[in-house]
Amino acid sequence: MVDDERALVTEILAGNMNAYQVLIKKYERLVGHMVAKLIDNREELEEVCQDVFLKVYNKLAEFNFQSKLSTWIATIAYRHAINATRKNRHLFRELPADNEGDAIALADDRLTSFEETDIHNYVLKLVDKLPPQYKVVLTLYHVEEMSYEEIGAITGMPEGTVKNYLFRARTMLKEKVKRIMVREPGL
Amino acid sequence: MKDEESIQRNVEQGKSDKSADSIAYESVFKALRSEPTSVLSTSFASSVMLKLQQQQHQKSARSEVVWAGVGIALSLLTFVAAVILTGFRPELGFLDALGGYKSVFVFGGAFIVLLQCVDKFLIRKKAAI
Repeated sequence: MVDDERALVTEILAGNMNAYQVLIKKYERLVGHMVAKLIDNREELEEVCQDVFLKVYNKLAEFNFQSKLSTWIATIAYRHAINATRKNRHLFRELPADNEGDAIALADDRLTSFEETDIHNYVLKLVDKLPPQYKVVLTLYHVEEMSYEEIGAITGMPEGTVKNYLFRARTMLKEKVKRIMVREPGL
Repeated sequence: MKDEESIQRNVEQGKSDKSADSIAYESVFKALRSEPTSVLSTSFASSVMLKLQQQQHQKSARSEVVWAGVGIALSLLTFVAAVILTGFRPELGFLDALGGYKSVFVFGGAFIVLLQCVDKFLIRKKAAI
């Protein structure tokens, strides 16, 4: 794996543009998923992701194989996306003190019957309403299957904070789902 | 908190005790692990490559400008050095005779500037109205 990465990077640095296209195809999913947690607008998202890969290309000579290539690319993507959104939004909201509070107001109370939807989509909608840093941590951990250490390296958060964010977000989601399950015992 | 942590850990490891909490966590974990829908266009890689080519083209154009600037600066320096070292004095010919009419040149310059100002601030403004 590391040898593959090393060979790919060497090829790119030697000027092989096809190799860079291979790299983009390999990591566009990771970058896309992560940036999408910070930027909602589709056009802006595509542009930010393109800029991330331009930055990766320009900085590739600095990559020293001290971490996985995916971690390094994800770090660039995270910082770039944060900078892109910083001007317009207050990024780092916290979860409401009352985890079951209204800040994550979702459709659950508006739905007359929960049969209209399913738990799966409901959880994803809830995740979508979480503060961005929670969404990023959840995505990197559960979708990209990264370790606490890797997530910490990407986001610049201490490992303890990463664990705490995961714990709090999952607990909040569980409480919401449990409430629905109690209301709709058939689910 | 400790209980909650251990429930999360157990469910994550696939050891569910079938309690309400565990079942809710199972649903949460299943949803969290699901692959999100693709967010980037199918031509994303090609778009990046195109942008990269444009960027490289701009870079080479920029370096050409920089080199041209360096070339001009070096030529000027060489010219100045040559003038100083050789003690070259240009022969201005008939222009030497005009040296005594400095005030005429100053008036001419000031008059042209004045005409430009009048044209810009009065005539063009009125024409626009």
